[in-house]
Amino acid sequence: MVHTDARDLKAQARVVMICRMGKAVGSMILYMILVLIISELTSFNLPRNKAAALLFTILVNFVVAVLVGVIQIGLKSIYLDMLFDNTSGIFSLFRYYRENQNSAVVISAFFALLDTICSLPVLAVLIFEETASVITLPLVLALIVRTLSQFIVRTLFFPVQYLLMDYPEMLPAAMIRTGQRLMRGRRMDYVKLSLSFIPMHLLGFMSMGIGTFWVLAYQNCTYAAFYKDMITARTKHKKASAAAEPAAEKTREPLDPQGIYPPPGEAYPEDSTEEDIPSEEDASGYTSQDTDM
Amino acid sequence: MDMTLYRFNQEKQARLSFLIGLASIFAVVFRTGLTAYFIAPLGIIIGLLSKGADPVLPRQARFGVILGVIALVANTLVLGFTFVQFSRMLSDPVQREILNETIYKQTGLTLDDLIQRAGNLIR
Repeated sequence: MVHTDARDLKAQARVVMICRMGKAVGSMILYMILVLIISELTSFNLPRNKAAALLFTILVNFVVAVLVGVIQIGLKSIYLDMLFDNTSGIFSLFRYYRENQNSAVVISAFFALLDTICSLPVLAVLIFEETASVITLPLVLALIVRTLSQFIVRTLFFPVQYLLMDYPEMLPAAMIRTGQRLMRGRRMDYVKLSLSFIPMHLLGFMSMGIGTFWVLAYQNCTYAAFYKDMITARTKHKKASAAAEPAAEKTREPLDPQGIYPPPGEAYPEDSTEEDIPSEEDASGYTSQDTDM
Repeated sequence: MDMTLYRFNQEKQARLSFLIGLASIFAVVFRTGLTAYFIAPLGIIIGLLSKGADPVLPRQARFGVILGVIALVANTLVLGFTFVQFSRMLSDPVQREILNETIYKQTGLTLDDLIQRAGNLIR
């Protein structure tokens, strides 16, 4: 499969941002404000018992992560909309509180659970060592472990939230499995793409965080372009493979016209081939639309 | 995609980057301290983003990025030089005494008192 170069993906993102800079940066600013408000609203006095305090913090962190996760899917849908030249406003951030809430909450809860597990060392150090205002070596190590583990989770499950936008009828478990399979062969591309934003993040950090809004908007646009390229490349590959082989008759269950689910009586295949992963033609969301960039 | 709108927005962004770069140079010249560190990176980021799908940066964005980088380097040199000069003054007993008197006349506290208070705050 021939994939688009990271430079071209970033160029696509820059073109989108030039045309819609206000919406791109405004959405990011609104998202950050909402995250701050939700975090502040859910800050409470901790119980004196340290074990109880840890458990309470974990629960609160989980709930906050689920609430923020649904808004994050809305944010990613805004960037995907911009890439496909669709109209949507900044308040599409709350889209998944209105439509397809169940799947959005399940997906957010999945990521929230993984993020909470990754944050356990940091929470334990902060509560048991009472080092909230002092930077100590265990805290630094715990932060490094959290950052690396969260990055690994994002690399493994990158397309899951985008699949929710593109295949809203798919079950959340199928989205997670499909997302994992889609990333096969693309993980290193994603890692290199993510690491290429470090210099810009340093510039954003130097500007006291003001530039970070532009950098994060650019990064999210590029990730949306990466997802679009992933699905498009897979469709082209499937078409090329189909053209090379004689066409076989495929019978499908009338209740499953897209052929996403296995026939009744059969379990979902664990070691499925690429034909089980939905392609651009199966999409009911963004990738089925023509784009003219 | 409307190419006219795209080019118009690209030029606007490049001009913004140039103006921010210019503002950061003024911030260095008028020795506003850390201001150049806040605004120069913003100009560089906006300038780099205005590249779009073109192989090179637009002309004004190029100037904006260059001015931003010059502002960052120059501000670092100016602040470094100021810090070195101040350290030399503090280590010279005569100059330190003059500084103590000057600050006492202005604030009612000597420089040594101010340093002690700052140390207590950090602790």
